[in-house]
Amino acid sequence: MFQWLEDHLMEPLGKIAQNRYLQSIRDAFVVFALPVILTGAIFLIIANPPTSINWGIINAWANAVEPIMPQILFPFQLTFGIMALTVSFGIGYSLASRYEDMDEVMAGILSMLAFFMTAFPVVDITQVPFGEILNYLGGQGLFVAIILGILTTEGMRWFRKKGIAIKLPDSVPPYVLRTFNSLLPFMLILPIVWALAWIVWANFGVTIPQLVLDLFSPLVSVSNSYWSALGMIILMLLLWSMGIHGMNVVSSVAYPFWMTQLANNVEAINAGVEATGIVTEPFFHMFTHIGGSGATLGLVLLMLTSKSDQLKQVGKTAIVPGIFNINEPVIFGLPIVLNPIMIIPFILGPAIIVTINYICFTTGIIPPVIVQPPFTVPIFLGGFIATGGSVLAGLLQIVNVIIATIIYYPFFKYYEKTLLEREKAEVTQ
Amino acid sequence: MSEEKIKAIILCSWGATSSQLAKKVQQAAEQRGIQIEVDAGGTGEFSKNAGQYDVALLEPQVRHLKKEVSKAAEKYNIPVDLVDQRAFALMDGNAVLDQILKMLGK
Repeated sequence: MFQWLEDHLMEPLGKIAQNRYLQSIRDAFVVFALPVILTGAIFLIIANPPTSINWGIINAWANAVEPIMPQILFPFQLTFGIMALTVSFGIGYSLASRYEDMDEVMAGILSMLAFFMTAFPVVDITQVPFGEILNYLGGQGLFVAIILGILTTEGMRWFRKKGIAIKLPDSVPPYVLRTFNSLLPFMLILPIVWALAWIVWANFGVTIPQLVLDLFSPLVSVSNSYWSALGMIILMLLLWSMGIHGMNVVSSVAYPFWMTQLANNVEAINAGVEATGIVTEPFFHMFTHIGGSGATLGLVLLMLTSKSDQLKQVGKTAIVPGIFNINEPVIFGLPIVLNPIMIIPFILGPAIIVTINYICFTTGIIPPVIVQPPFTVPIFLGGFIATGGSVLAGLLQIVNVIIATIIYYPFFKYYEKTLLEREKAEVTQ
Repeated sequence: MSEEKIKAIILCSWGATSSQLAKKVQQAAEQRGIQIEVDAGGTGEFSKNAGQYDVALLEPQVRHLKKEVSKAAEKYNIPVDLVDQRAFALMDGNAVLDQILKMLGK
């Protein structure tokens, strides 16, 4: 059965994950957008103190920021609020860096300028209020940022491959050469983007990001459903069961959707309406993969107290990374990989946790995710930060680990028994 | 075998676990008096800076990226292999160091 899965699941998915476009998209978010998003999140939290914790100091804080809300949100809006701009640079840069001989920075700039150009209605730009555009430079522009980033970089590469560039003698210093190499691609690609933006505006009365958002909106809402969350977690863990980085593979496709949900939540909170985004990156990294993919934090504790030398040894290696949600030592050392006994709870537990999480978020027991902490933030803190200061969210993480551990327990004991028998047999031999 | 310093890189998806393993290998090498410099990195940047290394190791959880890494490594004739699964799980620097030396035929 493993061979079948390896051939029919791992092979094609491995190919997808290896796709340079998808890798560039993931890098654009993880490497380029994350610092911007987290910086913005600080001001978002300052503007929205966790008033659910009914402390005097927090209420005083809420009252203090009330009259200066727009000013507090200013740095937020020009960081998190324009994340698609960062993403568009990141896509151009990452994709160009995967090709030989391309100027990454210039590709990034071209991609960013092209995206920026599409965000505005093609009218007298001095009359366009920036506030109306802002949303499309942020969460609502992500899909266009990605598509244009890929197209402009491919365009630039095409020029390079065809040798279309202003030819200069060899004696020209490289610094000057760099400018001239990018000159023609810029001068030809940006006008094409402008023409497209104009055509769309003239015919539909919307900007390209608005148009694309309409096209993608059914997919975005499907991605936010319970079945999508369940499908994602099962796929991630099936891949890990084969020893493949499941989060890496799934996120390369899912990241734009997760980010769109996150940005929607933040916009909703700031606008004072109900936030409906559920399936975000922290939904998995913070609330499900506690201690690492498969929610193995409790499992590591079981290993530490095991009588089996092998399990104890792996447990010792695994505990510190585990606190920071890194669990490769567990997955490869227990191992979970290709171990039918351990794969069952490894998938079953998180599937149940995802269900609990989904219920908690839809019913509003846990407030929506508005911050995406780095995946290494430890249990309790992670949930607390992700929800902008909900203690209940931190407790949910703890409950989830306990549930996962209870599900692991019988399987772990059975597996431990077989190991102990083997270890005993080795000693007596 | 004290000639030139070996330069090795261990790759994972974002450089999180590989940096820990690289440190362990470095420590093991120092204890055994082997001249080696071990870096850690993500598979993304590797295609750009592959030329700096003598040998590249890929962690098992990103083995689906092996083809991409091998392609980048081929140009510079760098051997690429997967880190032994058990050595990886236990972060066994000594075993991985042995693996590197073997790959270089030393």
